[in-house]
Order: sequence, then C-alpha cells, then structure tokens
Amino acid sequence: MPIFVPDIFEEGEKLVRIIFSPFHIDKKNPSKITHIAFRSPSGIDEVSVNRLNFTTATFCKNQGQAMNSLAKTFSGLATIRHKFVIDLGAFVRISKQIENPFHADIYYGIVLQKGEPAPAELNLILKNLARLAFFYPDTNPNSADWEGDDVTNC
Amino acid sequence: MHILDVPYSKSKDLIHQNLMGYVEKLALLQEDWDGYGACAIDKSVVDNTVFIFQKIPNALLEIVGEEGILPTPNGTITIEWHKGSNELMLEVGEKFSTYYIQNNSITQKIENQFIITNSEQMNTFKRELKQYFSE
Repeated sequence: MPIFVPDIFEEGEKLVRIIFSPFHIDKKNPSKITHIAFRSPSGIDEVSVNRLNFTTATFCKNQGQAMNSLAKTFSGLATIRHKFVIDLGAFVRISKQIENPFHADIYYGIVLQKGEPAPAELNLILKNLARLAFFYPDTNPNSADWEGDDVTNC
Repeated sequence: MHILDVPYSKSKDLIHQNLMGYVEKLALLQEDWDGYGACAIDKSVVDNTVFIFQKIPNALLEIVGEEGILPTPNGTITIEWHKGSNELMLEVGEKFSTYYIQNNSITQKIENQFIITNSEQMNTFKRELKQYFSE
C-alpha cells in the first residue's frame, strides 16, 4: 500500500540529508558535519533532502550507498527539523520524484557561479544548519539496512 | 587514501608551508571531485588563498589548521578561525572574498566585497583577526 505523502509540510517535520565522506565530515570532530553538507552546487540553488516522517533510515541509506563513487562514500544521515531550516532564513520546497515521493529541497534564494564566494549571510545560515543538524554515523557500511542509532530521536 | 588526506607535519615552523602546501593540493581536485558535480578549484582561488596566508602571522594560521580549510562545490575555498566564543569564516573566490565574524553567536561583521589586493581592506582584516584570535 503506497504511503500518503502530503504536499505541504506538517508541524514537527524532520528532514534528512545523506552525508558523504570526506567533505561533509568535520575532520577535527568526526561526530559533526561541515557547512559543505548543506551547500548547493554551482549554478543550482537546491540541496536534496528526504522527509523523514514518511520514509525510513534504511531507504535513505540505500540511496546514499547507490551514490557511492570514487569521490565520495556514504557515511551517515543528518537530520534537522523543517522549522529550524525556515527559522535560519533558508527555504524548503517539496519536490517529489517518481522513484522518491519523500524528496524535498532546501534552497537559499541565491545561485552561485563558479569561483563566486557565497555572501557571508549565506555562510552563516550554512554554518548554523550544520550546527543544528544531528549527525548519525553509519555503523555498518557492509549492511544494506540502517543499523545506526534511531534517527527519529532528534 | 584521499588526495587531501596525506599527513602533514604539525611542526610550528612548518605551519605556513604545510597549510600553503595543503591549499595548493586543492588545485588538484578535478571537476566533480565531490560526486555532486563540483567545480575544480581554479588556480586563481588557490593563489588568492596563499596570498592571504602570506599576510597572516603563524600564530593566527595555527588556529585554522588543515581541518579549517574546505573546498566548496562552486570552486572557492572557505577558511575558518575558531577560538573561545569567536568565529570567523572567510570564503576566497576568484575575484573577491567574503567573511563574517561572530562573538558568542552574535554577528560582529559582515563583509561581502573583500578585495585582498586592497591594502586598506587587508589591513582591516588582519587587525580583526588579531583582535578576535590573538591571546
């Protein structure tokens, strides 16, 4: 039976960002993530997340594992409340995909081009997103199932 | 081992040299280095970062460390200073740079047009670094 995913955010919704090493993980404190985890690529203003209230950590982990490459390795999941994202001055839009009805995008209202530094205000938002997010490391990379801590506890 | 994970010496005398070496390694990152379509780091961004490091005393660079330097997906470099309740994030671009300063989570300064070759702006930046991050 398909899961009903509403087209509006409900109160208390949490978002989950797939985290990859090495660049999303704080080198000094590996239990933390860096602001890069919430930064959009050049020419785009969107950072993919999933709506945690309607999906599972295992679904997100499978997505992350499927995206593993020479450049990046799935390392865990970061969760943050939808309300915190909005309160910090960022935005979230629902962007359901056929293969992923839980998909949404965090965005900032600014598109950066190659070599263009982010306005300091945007870096403040990104830094605070990284601070407020709970990072759950993947405790068993060899498993297809999520075996780390309960990500809904944030 | 990732290209950026090659160990480096913590010797105080070599801080400058090591951090600049680390920044120069960022120029080796190729297009899509993050697997999300990231831009390569242009040599001008690396040169600008090295230029800034050459202007800053060792003691203030020691605070940054390799872990405080990150390449961004759109081909810039961020550098972070943290000490006590003070925080500064500088983002170095091809043509200009930006930074903010916070103390106790309160924003003290926002600079969105930092031209590193402008000696007045560079002196202000150095003065602020000393103010917030020296003993």
